[in-house]
Amino acid sequence: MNTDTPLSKKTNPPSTHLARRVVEEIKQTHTVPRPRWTYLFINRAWWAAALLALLVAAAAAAAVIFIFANAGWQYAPATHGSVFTLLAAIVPNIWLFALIIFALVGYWNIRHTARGYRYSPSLVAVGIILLAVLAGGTLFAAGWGQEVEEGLGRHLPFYRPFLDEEHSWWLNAHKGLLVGTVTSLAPDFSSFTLRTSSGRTLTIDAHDLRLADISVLARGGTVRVVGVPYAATSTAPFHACFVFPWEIYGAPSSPSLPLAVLSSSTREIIPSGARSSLCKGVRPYRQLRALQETQ
Amino acid sequence: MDAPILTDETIAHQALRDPEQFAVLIERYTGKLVRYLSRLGVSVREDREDILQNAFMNAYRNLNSFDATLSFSSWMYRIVHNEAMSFFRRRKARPEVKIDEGEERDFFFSTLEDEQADTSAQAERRLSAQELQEALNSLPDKYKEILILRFFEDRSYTDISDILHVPVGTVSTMIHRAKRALRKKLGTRLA
Repeated sequence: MNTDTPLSKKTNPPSTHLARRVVEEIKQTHTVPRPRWTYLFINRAWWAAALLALLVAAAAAAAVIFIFANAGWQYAPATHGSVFTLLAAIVPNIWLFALIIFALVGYWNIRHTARGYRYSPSLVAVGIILLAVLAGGTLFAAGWGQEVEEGLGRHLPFYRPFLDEEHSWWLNAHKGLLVGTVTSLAPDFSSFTLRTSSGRTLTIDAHDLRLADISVLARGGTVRVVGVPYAATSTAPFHACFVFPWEIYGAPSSPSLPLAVLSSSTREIIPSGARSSLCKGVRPYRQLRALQETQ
Repeated sequence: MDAPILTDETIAHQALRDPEQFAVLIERYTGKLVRYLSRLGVSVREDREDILQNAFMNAYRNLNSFDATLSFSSWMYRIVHNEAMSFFRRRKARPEVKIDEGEERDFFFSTLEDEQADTSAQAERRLSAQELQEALNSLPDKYKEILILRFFEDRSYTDISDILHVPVGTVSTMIHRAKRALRKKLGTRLA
């Protein structure tokens, strides 16, 4: 604040040459200060643009979280051989790119607000990414993860929604993997029918399934099946060894009608020690068994 | 009885209604800003006047954008700084920094102040304005600008942040680097 020159209430005439020139030019050209609202509007527009960029970054973060939450890490040994191969297959480059780009756009917008230059660039950048991840996490937790990932992904011509991609990994009977909706379960639990996303209905041999698998089938809905494909001539084209639920995290839950009610008297068809040797060929048998026991 | 002393911010507010009041601000700042422009390297008097006239006209047009919670002085310096940079761009040349005789000694001590330096030994040494000017001119523009603002214009870190529109932390880092670079340049002369 400068207070060098005293100023009386009565206006002093401009004494310096430059002051005279400037004041004369102001008067001659009828220059008036631009209205205050224009600056307020511009400043708010920058903040609004920053907020918008943050929202897009949050949507991208929600999509990334949705993909990582639904990747099916526990099944990686069966679908991709290892967790690292699965990770390489699912890295959501487009969403990570969108997250970073819109975080940068948000930073750039904040930098242009009236006092934006005062904030530390690294703090603003990290803050925006953190806010985007927090907001994305909130969207995901509120059940909007799938909506965002598929809804936005649908607008990108080259993008395939993640669940479609995951379905394609599991819709591979030759590799011993199947996914579909359980439409019926035999009363003696010896077989069940599965309708795949392509519309095919398959009858699956369930003789080797354990109680844990049967309880998953009894709940109905979409399931993952690991097993062994039979020869084309067989009546049942697939022999199930393990059944896991297909749960979607970050989407509104859609409960399915149970197909059967299990009681304490429900028994497996084949006692543990007398199972067929077919399932022993399933890889990785031990990991899948361990996974089944934890469910 | 003495006339009340009004602050720049108050006068700026009054100038919104009465352009004559703006002349008071011009009178207050012309001397300082002329010196600042000279130090930046605008050596021709007419060029300095043109730059200042443009800067004051811009300041008047944008008077409503002045945030009264900040310093008017820094706001005015920023406008002049931007005008000077535009002038250099138009000329496609960045003239050399000019230092007046008598300025160099204080600048020298404050710039080279360093916890590791032997200040008593430094006090024995003298640099001519010419030597200091040469060393300054060999630095990158961003270092020159910040050293001028800090040590010739005596602006605080917050003021420099408002003038150059960079965070205070960046000002601190740049000053540190600029001082180190200048010490390096002057190293052979000091030895």
